[in-house]
Amino acid sequence: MNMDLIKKSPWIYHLNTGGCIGCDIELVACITPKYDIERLGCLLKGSPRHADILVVTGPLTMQTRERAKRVYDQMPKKKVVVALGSCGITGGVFKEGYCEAGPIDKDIHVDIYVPGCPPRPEAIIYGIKKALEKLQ
Amino acid sequence: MLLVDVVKSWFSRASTTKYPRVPDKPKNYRGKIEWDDKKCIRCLTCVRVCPSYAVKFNKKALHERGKIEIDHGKCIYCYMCVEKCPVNALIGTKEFELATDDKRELGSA
Amino acid sequence: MIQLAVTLVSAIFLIWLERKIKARSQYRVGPPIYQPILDLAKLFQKQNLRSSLSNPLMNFLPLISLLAVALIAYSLPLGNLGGSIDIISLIFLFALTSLIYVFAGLLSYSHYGFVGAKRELIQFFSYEIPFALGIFSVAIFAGTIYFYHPFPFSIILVPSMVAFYLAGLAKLRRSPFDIPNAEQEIVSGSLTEFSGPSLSVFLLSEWMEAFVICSVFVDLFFGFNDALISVALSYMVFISFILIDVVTPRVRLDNMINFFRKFVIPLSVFGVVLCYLWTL
Repeated sequence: MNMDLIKKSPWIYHLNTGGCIGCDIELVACITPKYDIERLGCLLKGSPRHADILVVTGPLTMQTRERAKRVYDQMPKKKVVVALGSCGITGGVFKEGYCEAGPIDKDIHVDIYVPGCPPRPEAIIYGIKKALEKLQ
Repeated sequence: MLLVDVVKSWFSRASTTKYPRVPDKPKNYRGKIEWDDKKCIRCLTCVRVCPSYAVKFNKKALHERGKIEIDHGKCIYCYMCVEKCPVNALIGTKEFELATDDKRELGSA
Repeated sequence: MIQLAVTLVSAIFLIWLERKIKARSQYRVGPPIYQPILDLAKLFQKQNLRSSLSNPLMNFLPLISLLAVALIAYSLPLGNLGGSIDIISLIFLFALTSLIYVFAGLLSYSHYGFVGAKRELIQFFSYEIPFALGIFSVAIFAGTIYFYHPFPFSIILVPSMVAFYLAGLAKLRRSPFDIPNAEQEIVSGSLTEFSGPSLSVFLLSEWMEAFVICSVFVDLFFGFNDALISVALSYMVFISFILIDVVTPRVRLDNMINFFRKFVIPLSVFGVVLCYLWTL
């Protein structure tokens, strides 16, 4: 009963740590009329203090390492982290780059990985659904 | 006037898909890649052609016959390996629901 | 007491209606009807984090805001259910709800809070004059400052009515005047540093304020003695606010100040003078 409420109204904060913006476009496509996630209760919020789910796209770069950690600390308890795209899982196409610091789970504990380059909006919705089940 | 269009849209059908309740079957989509053991001739063209080094050849698996392993965490789904395979041993499926909480299920380290 | 219950239920219904109408105007399916209650209840279960630079009094502000709106809602005349408030207290309590928003931005010690508070303060100086003068003109016209019954419609009050409508639109922070929470699409204005239960109380007081302003507008300018007709009319006023919200873009801060200074404030002063001359 307690966690059922987060399943019914998850609020999402979107953080791009330095990739190309392909996965970001697919995430924002989820709130367009074709794949409307507002009917499931999700909202894309502007502040990490309001959000339950942190969706991280792109590989970690040297600049965004501490900032991503700070954003993760600013979120209140019962939070989930979703790594979107191949860059989040293994570094993807940017792996041998000059400013890369590796995949996301070097610094933040990641709960769900969504592969794809970029993943489909339906795959993103499926990933968010699995992330919410992990909260229980 | 914009207000006329707004009021007209209240009486039209919404253009939203019914995704989580109704499963989605895309017509053309580059999804997960499957490997067929019997057709493969171990020429290793797919290993050479992959732009993100996602296809690997494991010499010691399958009783020393060798297995092609695809790391779906590194794959960018460009399907070069599927196109260049001379015997069509790599098959592209349309499966996109691959989200998981364990990287090893996808074949990553 | 019954007015408070009606306000609570209507607040949640009107917020759902706003989200659903905005969704349907964009050819989307909107949220289901129980969504706002689920949002508020979910926020109560989260942790109440606060940055170390911000003031600990920050968490009391939403309670004061909710108390101010609840006081107005408790003593509002809805048709034949009598009210018990006078016009001076009404103006004071309405100003308090807006200034609490400014304080919340200032006490939370973040850049977004400071900018949101500054914009809300500038907007407050623009809309408070037509708001208060609209209420005063009705008081002058009816000859009393006690707001116990709804006042009926009269053609003399039309300039004040238009000025009060535009000031109400600016007060509710809806388009085209949604500058203080313009950042909500990007960051969040004054509410950036609130989380958990404080945020949910703040949101609830904002939602109740919407119904209360529409209800005061209906009671002041075309009041009926029947409670159901008053509530239905306030719903229709809010739907007109939503329609203006859907079709207009956001204006810049100096455009808004010019619009209020050159059109709305002279209109409200003209309304007051007209009412005074009528009673002579």
